[in-house]
Amino acid sequence: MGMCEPFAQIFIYPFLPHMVQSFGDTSINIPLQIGLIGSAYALGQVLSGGMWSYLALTGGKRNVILVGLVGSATTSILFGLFVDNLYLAMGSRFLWGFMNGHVGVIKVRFWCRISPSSICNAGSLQHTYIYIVDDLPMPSLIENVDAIGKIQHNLNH
Amino acid sequence: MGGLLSVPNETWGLKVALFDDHPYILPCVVYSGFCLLALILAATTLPAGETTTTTPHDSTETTSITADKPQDDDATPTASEPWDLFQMVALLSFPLISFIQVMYIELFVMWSSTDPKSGGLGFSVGELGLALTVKSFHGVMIQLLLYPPAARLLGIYNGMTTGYYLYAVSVFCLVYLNLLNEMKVVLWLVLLLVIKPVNVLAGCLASTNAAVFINRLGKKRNDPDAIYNLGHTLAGISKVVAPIASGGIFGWSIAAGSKHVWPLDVSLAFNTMAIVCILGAGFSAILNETKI
Repeated sequence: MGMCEPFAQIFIYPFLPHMVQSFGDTSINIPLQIGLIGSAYALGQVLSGGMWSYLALTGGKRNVILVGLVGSATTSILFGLFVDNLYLAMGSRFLWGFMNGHVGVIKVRFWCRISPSSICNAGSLQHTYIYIVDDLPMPSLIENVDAIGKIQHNLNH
Repeated sequence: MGGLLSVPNETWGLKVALFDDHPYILPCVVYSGFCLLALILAATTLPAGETTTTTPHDSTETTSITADKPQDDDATPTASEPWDLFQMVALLSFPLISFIQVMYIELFVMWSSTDPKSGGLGFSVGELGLALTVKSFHGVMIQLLLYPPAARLLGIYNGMTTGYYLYAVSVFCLVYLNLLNEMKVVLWLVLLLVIKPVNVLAGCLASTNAAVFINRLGKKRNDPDAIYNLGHTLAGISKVVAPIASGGIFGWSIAAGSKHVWPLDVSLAFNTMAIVCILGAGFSAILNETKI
């Protein structure tokens, strides 16, 4: 679940410069257009983070996570289907980030289940999936067997 | 994946009308499939109606919506106590590394797809995707194999400072890869075997330790939900600013017709970022592991 957020943030970057060029908008230089589209996503996350946290406390974390995932899936399709100019790109990325604001709920849930002795390994494990979703699954459990075991142990208790 | 799946009619020689009209739809569809898979997992594995946070040592879930109980024996401060300098710096370390990482990926994408005559590398979508893919490979290997011993060797505090310095060096050197444009093989070797691994190791050390600091701070202040969400919100703000800053600076430095000289040429954004990294190293030097 936590993979969805870094996935959404990163995977458009390889084609974003070419997508922006295809807009043919020369009123703003291309690097700045790329920056604006990137910012719109983060802005959506920032503005929705508090709302998702509130909803998680009142309506339940599970419901928030489910709604957020449906929203992310829907807005990604919107981005791929309808974006043909800078403003639509910014708007759809904003919506995408808005629906992905629930990632804080997921991360809090993760960190709160980690015991103090496992913090470093758990941090390593959590950040590993950010690289995995960049593209390559390359499982290696040499150090993380311990972390996974402890996390599993914590979840079981 | 974004590079591999975009414009599939050209990349894979397909003749699908949908991909002609919407060349970037395929990676988005794959992403939404990924979300739906996560949705099924969440719907089947998460307990319904949970409105609380649990601690690792609790045998039952709490029924109130208040914060966790402290897990550290020395976690005496409470959420209502004033913040000291070390706690504020620990909190700010999270948005700072987010700023640097987002600025880096934006800069790398813009610069590597820029025409070599303007100081870039002229990468195609596929080459850019490949560079990011190999970076991911480095990330997984370094995060799993190198980070744990490095964290044990350096400690969280020194590891974070070292990460910032390594980040500054890798970013400063990156832009000069343009000089190797005529020797593509050497360029790729230096990029993938030297610059990227150093950069990824720096990111691992700085960002993972920042996350650890935030986690410790939340438990120390007896309010992990609030602290993590505060850190996440600050990181979100820095992620809003970073792309505009990097895009604005980079766009200005390569603007058509301008004849900028060093340090105002294409390297301006990279030099700026290196300075931010060095400031981050100084910033993290304020942190004292014993106080967080």
